[in-house]
Amino acid sequence: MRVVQKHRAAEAGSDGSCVSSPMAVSTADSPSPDLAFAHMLVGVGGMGAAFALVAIWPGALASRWHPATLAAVHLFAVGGLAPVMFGALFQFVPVASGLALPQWRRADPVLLAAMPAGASGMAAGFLTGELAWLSIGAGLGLSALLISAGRLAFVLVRCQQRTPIVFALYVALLGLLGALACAAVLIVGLASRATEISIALIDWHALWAVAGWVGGLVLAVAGMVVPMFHVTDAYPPAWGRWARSLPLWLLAGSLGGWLGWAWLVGPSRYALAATALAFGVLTMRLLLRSRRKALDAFRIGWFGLALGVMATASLGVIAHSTNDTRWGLAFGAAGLVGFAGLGVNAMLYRIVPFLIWLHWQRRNKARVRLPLLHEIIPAAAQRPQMWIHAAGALLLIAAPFAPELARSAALLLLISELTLVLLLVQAMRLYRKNVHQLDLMPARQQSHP
Amino acid sequence: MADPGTFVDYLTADHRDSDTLLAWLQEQADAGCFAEARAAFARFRADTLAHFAAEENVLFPEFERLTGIQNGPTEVMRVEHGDALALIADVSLALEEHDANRAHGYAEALLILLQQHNLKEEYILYPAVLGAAGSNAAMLSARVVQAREGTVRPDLQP
Repeated sequence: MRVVQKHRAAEAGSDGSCVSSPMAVSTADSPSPDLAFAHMLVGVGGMGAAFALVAIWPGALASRWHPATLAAVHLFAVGGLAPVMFGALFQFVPVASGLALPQWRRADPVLLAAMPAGASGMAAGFLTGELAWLSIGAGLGLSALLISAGRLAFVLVRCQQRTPIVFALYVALLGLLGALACAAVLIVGLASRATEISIALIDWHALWAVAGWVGGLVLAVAGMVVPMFHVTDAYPPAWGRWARSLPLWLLAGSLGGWLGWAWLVGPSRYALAATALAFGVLTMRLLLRSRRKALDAFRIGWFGLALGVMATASLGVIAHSTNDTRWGLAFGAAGLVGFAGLGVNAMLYRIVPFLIWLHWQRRNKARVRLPLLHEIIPAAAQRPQMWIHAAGALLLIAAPFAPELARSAALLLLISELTLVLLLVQAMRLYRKNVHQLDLMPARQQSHP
Repeated sequence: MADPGTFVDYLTADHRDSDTLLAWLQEQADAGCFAEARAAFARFRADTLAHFAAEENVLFPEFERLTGIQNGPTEVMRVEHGDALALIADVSLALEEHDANRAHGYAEALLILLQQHNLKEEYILYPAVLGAAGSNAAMLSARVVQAREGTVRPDLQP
């Protein structure tokens, strides 16, 4: 009986409702792509700036406390990753939750500008040792991220849905709030010069940001994107339940670090590493069993992301178990550039062409032929760019052990980001040109099959 | 007797079957195997049209009747069905013309369009209809399945 077969094959849950307005499921809830595109371009530029700094600054990556290392990390995370991730959320949240993120026509450009501006201020503070720059930069960055986090929280609390994707968005939100709370304590401590800065707090600031915020968002996106776009089975339901524990491990580890309870810190870090490793293994397994075999840049990127998260987890365990600080640097490089950077890169190759195509379709009343998805950002250009990024990431992870590789790694990654910016700008120019022409064309009747 | 499940399970599995067919036909078209691609496409189109018809003729009107919302999510879903049908026509033409590049491009666009459409149905609309149907969910599920499979029983009609 077909219904039984269908029932057995069904994998998606259905335990809630989120239809809060008549237009709740409309793609029209998605903002104009211009806002998302602006976030993405600014973000890729921010990542490029981080690599440019590493390439030109002597001794960058010599240690995690080197001013250029600190500056590059904040340029990458606050000026690069954050804008791209919030840009993607404008499109992702309505589809995942049925509710659109509120838009503020005048404030959004200011909020976006505050992220790279804050990152630049912090970078200037680290590089010059001027506390004023650091405070201004941190203040700007914290404010922008906190307001953006508030916007996400506003939508999530209104959503009655309790799907794994919504839970993962909660994990991401908690991760961001945890990272910002640690950052606020650190910057107040620095500004007041009242207390000695806690290394443990810095460690957990980074872990909340990478494992909680970036990891949570990647979990949310993967739960939707891997089964649907790679045509695979769903992640096991037990995985979704386990992944919700991510903020608990982060909280336990942070408290342990704050109170000096080593017995709590170690297990928390190992639990985080096990979660990341499990995610990498599960994702790799699904990708290898994908019913869609085309090895395009998007699929290569997801393979890279799975490998990147497994490498990050392994390096994190080693870094925690040894006094050799080079492993900590390698762990950071793997987490930021190998895992997060490659993931963002892969997603941009899917999000940007689809948004352009979708908005063209909506205006294509004349039913004229338009560039195809794989022509909007030429497929032939995507793969080399992705391989350059992967090679740069590998060299960057190795650079703590072979410092002479740092500049080559940064240059490769800079080339990768500049190429990506160029490809995105070309796609967005094509979008605007065709939108203008489509708006001028008369409608044509089209018969469907 | 095995639990036949609700229309949510049934239509969700229908989505997954279509994904697999679409991926397969794209792979065949990429490889230049147009006979195989057309065969997969014929099944995909027949399944998709039947799926859309079951939703538009049974499920969506039931949602509108139960909630009183006429121009809401169901209307959006109908518009997206229209977008998908236009793309299905594009894929059909590209396969007839043995144009692997266009077949790949349109199938890719169709896959992405259907993914985000299916996600909204599976996570938002279907649960909403199921919740609104309450104790009549089993009857509604039977009607949806029969409409999808083209075997409408008069005794299940409202």
